[in-house]
Amino acid sequence: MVQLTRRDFIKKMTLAGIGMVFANLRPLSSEVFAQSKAADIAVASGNDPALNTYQVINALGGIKKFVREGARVVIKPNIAWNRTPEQAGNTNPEIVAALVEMCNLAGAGHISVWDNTCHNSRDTYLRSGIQKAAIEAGARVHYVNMDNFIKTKIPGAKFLPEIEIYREVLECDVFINVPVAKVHGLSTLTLGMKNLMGVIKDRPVLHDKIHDKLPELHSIIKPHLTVLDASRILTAHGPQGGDLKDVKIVNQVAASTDLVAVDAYGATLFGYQPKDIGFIVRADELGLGDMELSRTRLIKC
Amino acid sequence: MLRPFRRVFQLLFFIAFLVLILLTEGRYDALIDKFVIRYPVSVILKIDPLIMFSAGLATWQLPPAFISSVVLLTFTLFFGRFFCGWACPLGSLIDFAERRLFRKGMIRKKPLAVGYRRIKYLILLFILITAVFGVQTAGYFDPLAIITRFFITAILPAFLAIVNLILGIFNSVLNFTFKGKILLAQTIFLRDAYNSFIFNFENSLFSLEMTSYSTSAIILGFTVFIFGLSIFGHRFWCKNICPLGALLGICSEFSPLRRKIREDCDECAICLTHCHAQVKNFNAVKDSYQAKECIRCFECVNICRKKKMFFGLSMPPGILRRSNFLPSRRQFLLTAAGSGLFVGYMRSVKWIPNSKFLIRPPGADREERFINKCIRCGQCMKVCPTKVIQPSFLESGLVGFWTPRLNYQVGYCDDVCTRCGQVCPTGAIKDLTKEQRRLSKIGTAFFDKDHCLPWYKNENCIKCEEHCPVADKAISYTEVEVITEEKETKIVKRPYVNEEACIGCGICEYKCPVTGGPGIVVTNYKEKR
Repeated sequence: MVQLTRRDFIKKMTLAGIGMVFANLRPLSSEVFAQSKAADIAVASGNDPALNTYQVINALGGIKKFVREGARVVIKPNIAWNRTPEQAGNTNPEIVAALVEMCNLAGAGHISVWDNTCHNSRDTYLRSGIQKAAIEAGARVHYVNMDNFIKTKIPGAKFLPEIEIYREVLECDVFINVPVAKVHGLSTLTLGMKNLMGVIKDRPVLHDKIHDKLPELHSIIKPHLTVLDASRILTAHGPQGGDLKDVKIVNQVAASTDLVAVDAYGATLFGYQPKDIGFIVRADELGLGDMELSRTRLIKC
Repeated sequence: MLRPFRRVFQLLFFIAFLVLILLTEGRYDALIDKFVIRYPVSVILKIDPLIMFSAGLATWQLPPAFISSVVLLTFTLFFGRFFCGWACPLGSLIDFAERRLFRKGMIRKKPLAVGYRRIKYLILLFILITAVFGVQTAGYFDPLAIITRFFITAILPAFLAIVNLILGIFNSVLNFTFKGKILLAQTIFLRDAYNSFIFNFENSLFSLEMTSYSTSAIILGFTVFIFGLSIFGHRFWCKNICPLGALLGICSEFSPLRRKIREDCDECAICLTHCHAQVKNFNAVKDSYQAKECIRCFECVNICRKKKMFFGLSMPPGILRRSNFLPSRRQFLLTAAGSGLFVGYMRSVKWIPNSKFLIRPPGADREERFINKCIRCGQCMKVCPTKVIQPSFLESGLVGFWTPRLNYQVGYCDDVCTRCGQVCPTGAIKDLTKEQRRLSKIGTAFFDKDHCLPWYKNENCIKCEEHCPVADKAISYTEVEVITEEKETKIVKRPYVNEEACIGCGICEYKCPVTGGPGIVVTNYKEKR
């Protein structure tokens, strides 16, 4: 038997410890997320948003295609504003609940629901109805921890060289982006790409030249799935709204793995062509997705 | 025998007071879509007759909640100054500080001259005269207002700062990264637990967010000074300065529950040295009972080894007798005259706010009535979700010292929130309905075009327009084509304010990203009160 001196023991344990620590270093490269070509957009119509959500997910291959057993899922709705569900300022809580339920059925290990809100988080989480819906469906809800953002460089970016991203987005297995379709004073529309702004810390820096910066943000944050809430859309005075007159009941839910394609579809709900919206065009030019609706396969449920 | 009983009651009442302060926070009721404060510390403030009647006298409008203070007055008329000895949180805290925080020998044992007792009656007189002539000063001297303000603006923020420091250490350890790489990825369950803990704690108990209030150092100093006065004798504040004590003391005089001494008392006078109300200058122990000063601590009963002391019913003298403890006629008249001069001066100072940047909470009464109803308790500041409500220093003049004002550098006034009006004990801020709140205008925003990015730099922003909560937007923009420094054409969205639609909520000013002065500022122009 080899004699193990105390010094040897300490040395070996320290090396083992450091080894364990460094073995867990995960590189924060931009190729973490998958993205398929020749996207399908599933669209469901009907006055039950939860049912619509089930239908679009099934049309894209079922939740198990995206969520494996024990996976860590982040469902990121729009909870930015202190508005009730009827005012269409935030994502419809029923859609969030449906997604949480589906992930649970697929055996997800941990389902997180949160947003870096514009208004006071305590108020928006409650008034939007999303806190209650998500918790009842079995998700873990928390307020975004302002110290948990990791500075990330955006390779090849001309307008947005680096940005701080919420840690959980970089650590999770599945990132489901759940925007609500609204008009927006600055970016004309707020759809899937704009919803990504809820996972970064320094939102104001995107305001100038937003149509250039949003695609660059999308180039390093690529959700596995984008589910666009078009049950109630805000047609005027967005992104906050407030007046029920500005809310149009469209009763649709659209989903795709291609965020650009979903945004292109969302633009048509407001009477725009995808080529009218700056960030959609630039994202298509960067090769992040396909904005040509005649090319993408539209599955109607 | 009664001592532990009294101390336990004091402790319980104080704990109830603290718990109420912590729970003075809005809870969301989804059925009525409203953030409601169910158990604010207001309930304790409303039993205070000094607050209720001073506010009522100064404005000729009795606060609707004054009934509960009448209950306390009636109780004191029958049973005496129990409130001081058994309930008052400031008194309890002074008792506790004297017992535990002061070193042995720091408190003067020899009783002070009786003349000091008169100060509290003179302060009470000052408060009443200034109130009658239209300036409410009770908020500065009332013990409940003082202790509430002290906890809300100084103690609780300090406690939260320490909590946040500890949580911050946890957080830093759990989130340690090295050159952008995430270390300890397996400890993600610890980070989840931490985030869940914070979320659940804040949702079920109280918010852990750090808060900070202007002039908190003055409030801290002022209150610590009151405790420090105990160097000159036990419960110096309660015996000599507290005007609520004076008011309750006067009512005590009519109470049939008085201290009585058995005939066979040998006048050893040990009761006098232990009396928390401490009397001096009386030869006969039997003559020494001062119902006005007695805070019903029952120390005399506890200490009398011969069991000669007890409290029982006897006919009260009925009217306020001449006493060394009451101010002399000369002192009375001088104080009355001085109060009159003081209030005259205060009234000569204009009630119109000095500053156009003085913004009051929505539902605030007209300025003069507001300053007279407000007791500077600080509850509105505690309950505000964005902490935009801050104590004013001199922004509302000397007469408005410590009254609440909105500081849009710190927060903004949520357009559907009615929390401040719900907790105001005197109605200085009205409890608005949702509809009334929606229509409240507390000011108007004005662009500072030298600082607003689209205007002076041709940089697109319109964060103000985005955040404007008014349904049809009080901020709009025009699209202007400009030629940039790089000789490119660019469309700039230049914002402007719709004065009539603007409600003065200040979210534009708060969210304006321009460092070095916001590009948009709210003034009280066209505020509706």
